[in-house]
Amino acid sequence: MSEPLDPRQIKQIGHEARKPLISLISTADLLLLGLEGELSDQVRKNVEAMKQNAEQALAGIERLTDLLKSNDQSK
Amino acid sequence: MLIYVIEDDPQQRDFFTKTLQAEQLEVIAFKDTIAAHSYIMLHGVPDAALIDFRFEGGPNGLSLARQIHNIHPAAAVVMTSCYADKDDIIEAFRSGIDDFLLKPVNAKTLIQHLGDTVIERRTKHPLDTAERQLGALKLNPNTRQAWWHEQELSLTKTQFTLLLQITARPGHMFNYAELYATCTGDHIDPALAAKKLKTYIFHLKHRLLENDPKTPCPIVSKRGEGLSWHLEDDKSK
Repeated sequence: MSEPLDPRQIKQIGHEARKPLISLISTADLLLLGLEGELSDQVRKNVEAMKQNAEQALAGIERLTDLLKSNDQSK
Repeated sequence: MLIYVIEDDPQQRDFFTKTLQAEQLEVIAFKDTIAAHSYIMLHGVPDAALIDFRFEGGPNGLSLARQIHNIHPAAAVVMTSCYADKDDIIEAFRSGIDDFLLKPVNAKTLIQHLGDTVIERRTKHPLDTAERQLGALKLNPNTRQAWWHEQELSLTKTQFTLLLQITARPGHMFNYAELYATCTGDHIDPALAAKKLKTYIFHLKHRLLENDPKTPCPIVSKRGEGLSWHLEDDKSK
């Protein structure tokens, strides 16, 4: 990365990185709530794992964008 | 309660729609603000709107939120976003939104926040206080007077409430249970509500027809569905 990111770019990256993960988490929630039909125990376990991984990735993005923001502010 | 969901992400839209429907709420979903705006201009505002902040290549959610409040300040607006940007949140609240939810939003939070904002809005802006004019019909909710082709209608309290309710959202089919609950505060089975409202509806239609026998009655009742105020310029009806 040759040029430092400006706040607008950080916001854009944060938005683009979060959006698919949020979509994934919402779909997992929809399945876990049983709104798309009953889930077998195995499928439920897999969906829960999928959701947990997506939440971890989301938390990672959160930390990364916070770091980029604080670097930008300290310039 | 009618909720409009305006969300460009199909999975997210599906989640909001199905979660709210599971709570017995009526939901109409739109993929962008333009589609929602067109619908609102024809059918009126909902009780609450859940609007995404950002839409790729189109007007953002704030302009729609402002339009909704300009049409009817009693409609609650909850803004959602994938990204918590301080400036966006400040701008959204300055635009008059009621709540801001950062996605992902779980079902419990969604229902809780929507319910709270609707109650809060209704407290600040009670429904139906402004005089209403729809074509040849004029209603004054404060004095409970109604005019049809400039002639005052003699209506009972229940008939007036029915008329006020169905004209709040022209073209929308109000189910009988919902109408009965508005008139009496009691929640009963839709079939029983239809039966109990039948005489009121019959006389209400009769009042309109006796003042203007040439024009078809704008009140449309559908067996097993409900009652609506016919929208004159809606060609799809």
